[in-house]
Amino acid sequence: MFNIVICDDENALIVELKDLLSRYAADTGREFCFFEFHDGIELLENYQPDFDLIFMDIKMEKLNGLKTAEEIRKTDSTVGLFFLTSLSQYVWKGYEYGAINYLLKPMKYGRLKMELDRFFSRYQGREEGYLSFSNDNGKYKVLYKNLRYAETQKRNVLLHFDGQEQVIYKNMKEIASLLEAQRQFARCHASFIVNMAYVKSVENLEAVLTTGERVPISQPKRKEFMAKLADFWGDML
Amino acid sequence: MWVYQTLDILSTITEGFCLYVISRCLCKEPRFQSIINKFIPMIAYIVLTYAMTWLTELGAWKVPLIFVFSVAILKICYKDSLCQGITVIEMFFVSAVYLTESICFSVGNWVYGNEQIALVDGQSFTRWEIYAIGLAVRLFVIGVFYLLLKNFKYKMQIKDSIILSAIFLIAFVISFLAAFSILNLGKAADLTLFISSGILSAIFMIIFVYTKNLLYLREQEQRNKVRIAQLQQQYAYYQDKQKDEERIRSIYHDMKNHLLVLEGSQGTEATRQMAQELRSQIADYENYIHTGNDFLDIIIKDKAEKAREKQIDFSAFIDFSGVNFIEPLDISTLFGNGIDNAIEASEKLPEEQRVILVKAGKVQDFASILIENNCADELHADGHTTKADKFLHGYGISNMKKAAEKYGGSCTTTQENGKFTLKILLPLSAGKAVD
Repeated sequence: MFNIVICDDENALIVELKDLLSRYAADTGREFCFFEFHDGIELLENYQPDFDLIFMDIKMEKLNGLKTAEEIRKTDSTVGLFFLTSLSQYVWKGYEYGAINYLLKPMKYGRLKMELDRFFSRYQGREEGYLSFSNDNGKYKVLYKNLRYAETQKRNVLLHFDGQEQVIYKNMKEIASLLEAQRQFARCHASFIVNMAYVKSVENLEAVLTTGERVPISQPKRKEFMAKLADFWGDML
Repeated sequence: MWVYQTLDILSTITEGFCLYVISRCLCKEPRFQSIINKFIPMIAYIVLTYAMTWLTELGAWKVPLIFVFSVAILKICYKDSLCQGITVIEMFFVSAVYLTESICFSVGNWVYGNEQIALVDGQSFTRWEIYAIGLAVRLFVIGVFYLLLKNFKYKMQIKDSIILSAIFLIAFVISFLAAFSILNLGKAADLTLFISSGILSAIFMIIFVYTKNLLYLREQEQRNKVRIAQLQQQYAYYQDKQKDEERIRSIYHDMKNHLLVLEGSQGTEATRQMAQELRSQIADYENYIHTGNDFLDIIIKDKAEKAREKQIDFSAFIDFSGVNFIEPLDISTLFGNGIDNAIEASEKLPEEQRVILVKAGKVQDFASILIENNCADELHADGHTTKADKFLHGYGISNMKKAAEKYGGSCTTTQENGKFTLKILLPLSAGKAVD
C-alpha cells in the first residue's frame, strides 16, 4: 500500500491523474491510497511522514511547487517527488532537490508508467534498511544510507559511518553478500565496498567520496565498478 | 576384398565429413533454408566418389572430375562467391587428401618399404594398414582445420584466391601423378611426390591464414572508415541545423520586438489585436527544450521532431549547464545514436507503447545520461542486434561505448520486462585533466 499525494489547483487534473494512477495500480498489482491538496501551503500543513509519492503542479497560487518541494526536502529526503509541468512553463531546476522527476502535461499513460516503473524500481518503501551489530565498544545500528564504505581489517571488517569507524566481527565475504544485496553498494576492490551515493568522483584508481575520503579501486574491478556506478546514477536521475 | 571396400568407403565418408566441416566454416549464405542444404555437398561427394571408384575404370582421372563437381554442388547449395567455393574445395583437398596422404604414406613407406601395394582380385590397393592410418590422420587433420577455421567470417578476394589456386594447382598435379601411379599403373608412387604435395599443402595453409589476417585487417580498416564518415556526417548535419536555428532565432527576436511596438503604440484596435495574435502564435517557438548546451539543444530538437512524426511520446529532461567537457562530436554520438536506437525500437510497437524518456544531468562530479524506451524482444542485452546486417547494426552502441570510454566513463545497456535502458556515466574530471 502506497500513499500517493496529488497537489494541483485544477480539480480536473487531479481527477485525470487519479484515473491514470488507478490504472497503473491495477496493472502492476499495487494498492494506492490517494490524498488530494490544492495548494502547497495546504500540503505542508497536512504533511504526513508516511507519504510515499507526491505529484505536484509547479504553478500554484500561494506556494508554488518548487518552494513546496524545498520545504518538504528539509524534513523528508525519502518521499518521491514528481512535478507536473508543461513545456512552456518548464522550469528546469536540475537535480538539486535530490531525485526529482518531471511529468509533462498533457499526461499520457505510457509515459507515466515508464516514470513510475523507474520510481518503484529504486523506491524501497519508508522503512530504511540498517545493519545492527555489536563489538567491544558497544552496540550499533547503522542505516545503510549512512554507511559510507567498508574495508577489510585483518579477519574482520571496518565500517565507516556517521563520522566514526567500528569493527564488525564478520569477514569480508559475509559483509559483501549482505551489502551487495543493497543496490547502492558496490565492491570496488577485494577489500573495499563503497556506498555509491557517496562517490563524488573517480580519479584513476581511486573513488573520492563526498567526505574527501579516498577508497581504492582495483584495476580488474574498475570496469565493472564504473558500470555499476553508471547504473546507479542512471536510476537516480 | 571386403576389407578394402569397407575401408575405402569409410575413407570416402571421412572425406565427406571434412568437406562438411570446411564448407560449414567458410560458406555463410545457404541458398535454401532447409536443414538438408548443409549436408548436400557431403552426401553428393560421398555418392559421387563411391560411384567413380567402384563403378568406373577412371582411376586417377576421377580426381579432377570430383573437383569440378564439388565446386558446382557447393555453388548450388550456397550463395557465396565462386572464389569462396573454389577455396573451400581446395582447402578440402589439401586437408582431406594431400596433408593426410603425405603423412600416412610417409609412415607407410617407413614401415612397409616397397610393400605398400597389395593386389586383390586383380585390382591394386594400398595396404589396409595404411588406409587405417590415413583415417586416423584425416580425422586429426580436420580437427586442426576446424579449430583454425571456426571463426572465419570474411569473404575471399579474387586476388587472394588466385594465389591460393596457383599453389593448389602444383600440389594437385603432383598428387595426381602419385594417384595415377597407384590407381592406374598399380605401383607405389615415389614418396617424394607425397612429401612435396604435403609441403605445398602446408604452404597453402600458411598463405591462407596470412590472407585471413589480411582480410581481417582490411575489414577493420573499412569499419573505421565507415564509422568516421558516419560520425562526421551526423556532426555536419547538426552544425547545419544549428546555423539555421540561430538565423531563425534572430528573426524571431526582431519580429517579436516589431510586434510589441505595433501592439503598444498608435494604430487601430484591429492592428493591435492582430499583432498580439501573431505574437502568441510565434511564442510557441520559445517552447523548445533547453539543455544548457546549444549543440545538444539542436540534437534534442531534431530527435523530438523525428519522434513526433512517428507518434512516439518523447520527453527529455536534460540539464547540461556546466557540463562542457564533452566534445560536440561525442555529444552527437552519445545522444544522437542513443535516441536513434530508441526511435527505431519504438517504431515497431503499437502506438500506445511508444515512449522514449531521456534524462541527463550532472550528479556529483559525473555527467549521467539515461535513455529508456519500450521495446519488443529484439535487441540483446549486450547491445548487438539480431539483424542480418551486423556490419552496420549495433554499431551505434559500440560507438557510444567507445566515446564513453574515451572519457574514462562507461556505457551500459540492459533489457528487461520489455524495456531497453541505456545508461552512460562520464567523470567530469576527464575534462579537468584536459584543461
